[in-house]
Amino acid sequence: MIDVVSGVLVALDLVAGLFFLKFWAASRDRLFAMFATAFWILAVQRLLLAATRSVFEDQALFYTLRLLAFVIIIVAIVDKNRR
Amino acid sequence: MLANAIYVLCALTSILCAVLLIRGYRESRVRLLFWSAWCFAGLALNNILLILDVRLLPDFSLEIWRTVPAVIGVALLVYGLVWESAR
Amino acid sequence: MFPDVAACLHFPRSSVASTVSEHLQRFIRERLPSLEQIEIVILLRSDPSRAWTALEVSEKLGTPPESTAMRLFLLASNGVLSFESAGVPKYRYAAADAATDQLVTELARTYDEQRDALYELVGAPTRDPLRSFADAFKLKK
Repeated sequence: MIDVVSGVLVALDLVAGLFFLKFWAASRDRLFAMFATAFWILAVQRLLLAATRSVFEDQALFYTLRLLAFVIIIVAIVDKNRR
Repeated sequence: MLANAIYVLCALTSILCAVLLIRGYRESRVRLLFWSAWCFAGLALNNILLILDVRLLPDFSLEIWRTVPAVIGVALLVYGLVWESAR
Repeated sequence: MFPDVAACLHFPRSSVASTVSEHLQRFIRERLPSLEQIEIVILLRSDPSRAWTALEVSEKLGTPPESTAMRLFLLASNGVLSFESAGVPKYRYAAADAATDQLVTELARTYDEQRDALYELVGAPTRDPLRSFADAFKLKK
């Protein structure tokens, strides 16, 4: 069951990232490019988690990827406020 | 413990995003912001439950329960992106 | 459906037309019949000493420059703004008389306190969802 739920989440993250990519193409606002990247990293993290059948995300690869995704979101917010 | 610190950061970032988006929704009434806010609330909950899960008894896993808020959140985001992103 | 439920959680909607005074409604109908014009006037009024170009105003409000320039010109010929044509046209808040100034003050207060009522009168703004999403992340407005 968890594999199904994970798979759904991976797909949703990918689609969300795709929309943000489209928004970036439409508006050239790099906040959207960063959000797209962040969501795709979350998708990859979730995929790897499911593929390796890990339960706890306390392995370095998983939390590093998640950290990267959220750091990119933070950078996007900081960048938006600096302009 | 580094992992926990990272998930705390992720949760706080998600909460910040949710708050900013709800504030934006209140001002502009743009529905995309409403759905997006719920996504980040779901991600925040996912990160918080992840931190709690590690501390609970090993024979009780929150695995599905902590993933469900993330799924619902991102699903609501995608709903908003599909229907509410055109002018 | 859900956002309307959420809207009920904030201010209860009173019967909106009655909260904006009759003379203000008439003023808006006659001199500032669109939300864009109202927002231009409120923006320029916030700093009466400053002279704005159409480009500056359009960037600040996020509106297209051509329609903004047209509205600025309209407002100047309506006695709400003054117009300086040295080089690039610049506009400044300058109400033609005290009565107008008082009405604009009341309008600005209504814009802050009863914006929904104003939207009922002149129409809600058509906001670009993408721009609103990105702008939501500005910590200071």
